[in-house]
Amino acid sequence: MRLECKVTGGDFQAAGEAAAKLKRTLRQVGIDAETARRAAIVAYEAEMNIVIHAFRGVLSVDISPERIEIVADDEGPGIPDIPLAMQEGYSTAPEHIREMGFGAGLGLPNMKRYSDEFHIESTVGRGTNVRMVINLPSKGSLT
Amino acid sequence: MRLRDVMRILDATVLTGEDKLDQEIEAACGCDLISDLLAFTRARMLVLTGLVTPQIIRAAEMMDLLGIVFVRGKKPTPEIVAMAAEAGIPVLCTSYPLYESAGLLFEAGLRGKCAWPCAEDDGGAATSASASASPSPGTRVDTSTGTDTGTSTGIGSDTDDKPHGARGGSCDAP
Repeated sequence: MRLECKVTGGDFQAAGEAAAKLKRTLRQVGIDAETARRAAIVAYEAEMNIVIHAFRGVLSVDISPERIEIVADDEGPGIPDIPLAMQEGYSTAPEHIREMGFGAGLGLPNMKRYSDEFHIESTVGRGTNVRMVINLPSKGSLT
Repeated sequence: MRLRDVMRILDATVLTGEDKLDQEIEAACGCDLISDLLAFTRARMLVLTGLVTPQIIRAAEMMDLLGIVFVRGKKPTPEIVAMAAEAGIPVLCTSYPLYESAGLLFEAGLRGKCAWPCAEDDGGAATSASASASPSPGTRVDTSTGTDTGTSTGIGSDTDDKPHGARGGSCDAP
């Protein structure tokens, strides 16, 4: 099963809708609450990163009986120094973003923490691609 | 503690979720940063916050939180309340500030159950090391956290609701 949602940079009204849709779908297909929660958190963080930092992007999710693969692919400024961006507390979010409660520099570390696999590629001036895998706990999670 | 008790202790009003006031709250946290909420809060908690934005509702929905208390007399817009209602998340408002709200609930027996990384974190250093080998634009970093074993949690039998990876510690609130 595959889900795909367009995400628009700067659109804080719609921000989080893709992750919310994903979470509802995961629960509907019988994924357990904790796994759905982990997937929703990483999807939400990835979606918010697109909204905060990029021009536009796509959040796509592939659900198989074994795993959930979440990919956030954006067109944006890219990340010049990924190791630095992965450090907790490092953020380039501007002040108005911080006033909304974001920009604590926890987004990427959080995505890595909640996923079983985490891959990130970025090209400055073009965009960033984040791929995360969450393994499903056991067979029979899908009903 | 039930949500109804939280309401009484904080002299709070309920904006949505009256049908869920008998829901049992296991723990609470005080938080004005969504990033912290996403990083350190566990499922089935109550969050006390002064951050009145639609995103706090969305984050609470993602986190499976059981309710939101807006402190310091902050009032959410009708749109935010409607969003919470749709997500099935009760919203309470109190005029007590965050510190006092937390103190009152703590005194009444509601503890924190955060996952603040008091213990060492997992894998961050490995990511940096792996990534620093090729720092130019087009950098690729592949890491797998699937094999880590976790560390002591210190929070009791929480294997079901802890985030994946090494977490834990003995702190009670973010």
